Amino acid sequence: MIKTNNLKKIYTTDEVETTALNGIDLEIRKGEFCAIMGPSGCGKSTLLNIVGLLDNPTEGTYQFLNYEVSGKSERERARLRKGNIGFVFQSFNLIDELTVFENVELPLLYLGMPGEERKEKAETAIDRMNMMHRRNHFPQQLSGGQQQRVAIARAVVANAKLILADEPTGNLDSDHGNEVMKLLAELNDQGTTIVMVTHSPHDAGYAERTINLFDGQIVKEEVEEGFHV
Amino acid sequence: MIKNYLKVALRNLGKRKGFTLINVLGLAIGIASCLLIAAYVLHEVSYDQFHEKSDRIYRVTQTTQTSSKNESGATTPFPVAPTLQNDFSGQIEKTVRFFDMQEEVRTIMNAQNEESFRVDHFYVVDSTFFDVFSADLVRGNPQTALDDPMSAVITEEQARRFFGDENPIGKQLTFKGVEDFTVTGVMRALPKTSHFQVDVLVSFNSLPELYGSREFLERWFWNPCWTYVLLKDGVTPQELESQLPGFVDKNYADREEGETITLSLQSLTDIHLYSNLDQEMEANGSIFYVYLFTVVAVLILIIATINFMNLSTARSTERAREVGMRKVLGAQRNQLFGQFMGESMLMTGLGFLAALFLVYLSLPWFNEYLDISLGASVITNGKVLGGLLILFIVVALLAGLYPALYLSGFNPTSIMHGSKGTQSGAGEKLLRKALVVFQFTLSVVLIIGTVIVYLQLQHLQNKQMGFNQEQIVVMPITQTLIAWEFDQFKEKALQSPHIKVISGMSKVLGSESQFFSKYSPANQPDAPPTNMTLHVKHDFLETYDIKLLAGRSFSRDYPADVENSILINKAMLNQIDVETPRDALGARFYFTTAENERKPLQVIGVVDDFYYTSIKKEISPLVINLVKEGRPTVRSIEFATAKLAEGGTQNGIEDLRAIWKEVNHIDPFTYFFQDEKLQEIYKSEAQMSNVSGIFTLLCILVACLGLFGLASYTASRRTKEIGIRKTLGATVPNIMALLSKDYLRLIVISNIIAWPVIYYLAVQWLQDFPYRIDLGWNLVVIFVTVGIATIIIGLLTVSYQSLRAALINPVESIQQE
Repeated sequence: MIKTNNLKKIYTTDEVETTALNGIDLEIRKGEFCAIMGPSGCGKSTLLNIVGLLDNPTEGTYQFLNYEVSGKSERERARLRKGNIGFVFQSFNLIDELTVFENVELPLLYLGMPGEERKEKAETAIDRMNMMHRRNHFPQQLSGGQQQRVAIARAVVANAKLILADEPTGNLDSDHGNEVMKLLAELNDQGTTIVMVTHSPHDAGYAERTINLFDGQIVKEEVEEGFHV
Repeated sequence: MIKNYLKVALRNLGKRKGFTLINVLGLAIGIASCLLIAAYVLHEVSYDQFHEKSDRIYRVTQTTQTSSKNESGATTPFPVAPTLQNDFSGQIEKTVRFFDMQEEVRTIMNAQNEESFRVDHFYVVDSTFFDVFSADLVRGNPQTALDDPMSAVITEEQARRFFGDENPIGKQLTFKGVEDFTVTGVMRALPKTSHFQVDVLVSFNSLPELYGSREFLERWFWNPCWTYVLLKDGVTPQELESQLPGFVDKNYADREEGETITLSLQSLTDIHLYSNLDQEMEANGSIFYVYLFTVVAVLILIIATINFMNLSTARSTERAREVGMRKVLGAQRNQLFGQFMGESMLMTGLGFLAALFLVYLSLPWFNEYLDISLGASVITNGKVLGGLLILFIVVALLAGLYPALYLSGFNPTSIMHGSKGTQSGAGEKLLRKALVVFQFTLSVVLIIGTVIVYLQLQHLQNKQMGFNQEQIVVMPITQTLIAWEFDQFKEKALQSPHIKVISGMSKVLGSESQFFSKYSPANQPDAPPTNMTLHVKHDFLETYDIKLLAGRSFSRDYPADVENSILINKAMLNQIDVETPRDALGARFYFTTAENERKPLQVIGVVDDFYYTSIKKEISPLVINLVKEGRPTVRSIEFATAKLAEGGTQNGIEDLRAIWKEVNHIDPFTYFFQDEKLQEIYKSEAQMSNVSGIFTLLCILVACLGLFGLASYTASRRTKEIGIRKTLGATVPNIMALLSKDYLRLIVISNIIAWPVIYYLAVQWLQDFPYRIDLGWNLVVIFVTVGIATIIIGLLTVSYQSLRAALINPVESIQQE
């Protein structure tokens, strides 16, 4: 599903060059649950941005669903993103002015789906996250765990094949955190590929494979027993 | 999708009520001001357009030039119209003359019940009036209504006044107690957008009867008529104008040596805004004010639009997360652009609705203030609505374009790092500052401009007129019995303890129209043969407290004064080539009589210069001539004037009224106060300066609203910084200074930029005034005062937000991000 070769990302600001990623070769197959770990500033989020088609690499190639995407325009990347990739963030990033239902419905709107179908899909996704009783609430009226569940509902509503989670439990207490991780594991069991950036070894334990980054390079890879890269 | 946008937009507006209010209100005030001004401008430029043939109607004006004077008048001699018609029948379809009997007050009496009415707009016109001008005759035949001598056409309003509900046709109106006019027509009042107004029109053929002579109708040197020509289709005014010099040479036989007379054509529709000649029918408007207000309207709109842009982009950083997330979820840039443009449209729409409401509320006041009649049609007529739609699109585009481009351009990766929004870049901050500076520069220019206009008008009004205007009552007496019984009237009036002095004069002091007579200095053969002349009765200088520089005033002790003495003003010294007032005593003048005899006169006194004519003009040399007691003063003395005792104004008026009735039982007693008359002359200017003052205030208000919004934004953006500073020991005043400092600097910069601009404009504007305020130190004082005032206003505006931010508990503010 994801295949990168010698991926580099260099940020240039005021004549200072910062190498965020330095030659990443990575392959993630369909249905994998992969955790990316490493200290702050090691390039985790940059990698996630590139993998999620939010950003372009400076060098190297990236094939998403066997399609070369490095160097593609913002427009093209947005088109690919829609319906294929779902995102879950540490800070939930729900739109405050929209209700639970409207937030979840939003990706379908951008896909141009008709109203009836949208409603059905969004409600299914919300129901799946056990949030139907809150469907007309605004994000501020929900607890952190509930907000993250809505964010996950939004990530999966368009049947995304890949979910990118950036510290999904970072803002949650352990009970809510476990709940979210179980949901992600469940999704993975149902066939969704998940790439998760985390600081928490406990969360990484849900993954079948853990990649450790340091200074923009992959320094270590751990694979759960019985799983083959 | 649109539903989703609308939802987000409405919820956003609702959530940020303060921000919405500032934005909508600022825009509404801006648009409302703009609409009101536009309505006024449309009103001004529409003058005389209602005449169907307006594009072919021209007024003939006359310029008289001699070595010492240059007069441009709106009027021409009686024979000009018929002679033009005769000489240029191939080019001129019709001509029409107006003559106003040269009187300040005209009274008309219902011949049946002998009730008297004062009429403001009373003209003698040619029977062609209805052929040239588009006036609706409700009763009567426009072809014949003004044919016969002593026929009159009156307006519906006057008909009701004179005759109530009776049919006025065929009824008699008595003029000056003796002559009777027959009403032959009733016309609808002319629109307010006419450069002349009409209450009563009487036929030109009545003149010989009214004056008992035809002879004056043939004179080429007296020019009391407003003359209009209707050109034939396809004839250009230049074609006719090019032949006018020859026409003058042929006909103006009475011209003096060295006197040049030029006739010109003035387009009917240009008169109201572009003509400011002597003897205008009514005070005209001025294209200067039209330009001024148009500029003010555009500036206010720009300031309001900038507010909108500034506030929207400033707040937009808060929406970065939404933009980022929408992009992550697949939104294209054009979709986001559409969303934000839509929001700007929505906000602008609200602003327009609020503006229409404001216009609706302020229209009655605006009408009264400017003495115009703008109805609800200002808002509802198709043209205005079309204009509004265009304005709406322009404002929505201007206001929304930048924020929409800016917002839709956010990079979605930023939110992956969990930051709430993007920091404004240096470029954006600079732009925002530049816009604030631009707004305040405009505001400062407007404030100082208004102050200078106001000061200049004050200067004109307060300028020493050179005569006393307090406690002076003026009574028009032309062709009333009082004119014949002046001495009796005076003698009786002086018996009242409330009346101090009584005199008479040919024209009201300070009014534009004054007499010219054939007085010329004996020692200067080359000097102009005519001079401004004031005909007076005894005690004139005493009534007005006019200062005598040398010699003596007219006196009953010298009976020969009437025959051979004159007074001159100081301005005359130059013309007769003497150094001091004393040297002028005994100087000889000649008066050329109607029979062309030269009558010698001697200067017995020199008075200090006083503004016998408009203060907008320089004081010309003047001859003051005494009119004999007991002699009928039908022509030369048009006004009696009385100085009342201090504190006895009301009693004095009552006594005058009683004595008037005693002496004159025919004409109603009418009067006005000298100082009020002078104020009237500057009424339009004063009105304009008030109105521009109000719009300037609105302009500052809008700019301050913007500043307020921006300050609140800055304070909220810097909450974390403020928290950190406070934990490190900053006090509340420290924080306030920190937050206010930036704005203070911007306002100071605005002032400095505004100074040279306003200096240039002020010098240009003041050039047209012969008497003007001295800019030098005045300007420095104004600059500094306005500078300090804007700084105070600006600081007060931002201090509320700064104080609020400074008082936040640092624990909260640090956790905020």
